[in-house]
Amino acid sequence: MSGGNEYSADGEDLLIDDIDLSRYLDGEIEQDDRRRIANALESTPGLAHQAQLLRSADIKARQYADGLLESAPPARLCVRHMAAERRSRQRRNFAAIGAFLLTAIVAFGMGWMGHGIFHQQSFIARSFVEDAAATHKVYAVEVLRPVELDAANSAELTGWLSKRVGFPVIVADLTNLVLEYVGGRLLPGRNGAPSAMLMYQDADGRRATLYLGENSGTAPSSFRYFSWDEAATETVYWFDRDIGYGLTGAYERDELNDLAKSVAKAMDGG
Amino acid sequence: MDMAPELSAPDNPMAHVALAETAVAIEGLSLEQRTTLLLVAVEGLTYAEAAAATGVPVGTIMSRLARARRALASRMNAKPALARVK
Repeated sequence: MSGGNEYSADGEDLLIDDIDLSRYLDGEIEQDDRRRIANALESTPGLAHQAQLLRSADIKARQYADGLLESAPPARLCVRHMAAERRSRQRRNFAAIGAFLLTAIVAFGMGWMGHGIFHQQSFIARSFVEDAAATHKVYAVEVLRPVELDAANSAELTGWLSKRVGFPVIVADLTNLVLEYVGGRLLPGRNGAPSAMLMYQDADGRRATLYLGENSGTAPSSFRYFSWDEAATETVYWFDRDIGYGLTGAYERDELNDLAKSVAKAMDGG
Repeated sequence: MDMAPELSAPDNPMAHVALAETAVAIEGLSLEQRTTLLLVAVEGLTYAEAAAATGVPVGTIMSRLARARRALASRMNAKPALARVK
């Protein structure tokens, strides 16, 4: 399958194209290919630069979408309203026009035209992911008090958190994925509802934080991803039975994906 | 070029320019490429979910996404993005 541009990595016989790089960036690639591309990226700076360029497109797309969400209040996200507005305004207001286009394009594709579900869900999900990332940013760097109760007090912590967040908080055992449980803490969540954070750490001191809280109003989802380029961290998030989960850390997407699978399995009762 | 802080400050004239440039670049993509990029990069859909949402095979999602990223990256970067490795 040709992705248009092909590169031959140093020391590799096989060509790597944009599709390969995209799949690698998205974690949608088989283990063998992932290893091959990871090696090539490491040994070929030019290829790493190409991957960075492709990733930069995602950043632009998110900035575009962020600009639309920030500038267009929910009441104005009705397609009919925006269509009328679009007719009456010139291109000086990119946000309004863009909001129409974004809603119309994606809503049409997903069969949701006119329901505004896309933006409502996007907004809730984005807000949740931002909370998960902010939690990671604040606490992952803490040396003395990263958690309120540490792993030695796990039962006390989970009992307390479960009572406050309103659902059973279960600590996933991630030791087979080389992450030790550090502990956790209670946090303010969306609309003032309590949420929780569980922290894990690997032998190099890298930390992953699981942010979880009640999140009604979101449809169940599979694992989704958000890259925080400034901090070189990534969040994998998902919603299940009115609970939102956001696992954040400076890990590759497929590593986070494996961690998230274990967390989801544990929260599901093992 | 990191535009995030500017985009969140609507009174900054440069923010409008930056947003306009990004908007022009994204809206310059084909409908199929734009939809795919927004679904995967912004909405976080998996390839399978994006394929189901748009009614095309996963392979098509892969190629549309790669082309959208390449086209957008090229448009947003002043220097040519197609340097051949090696």
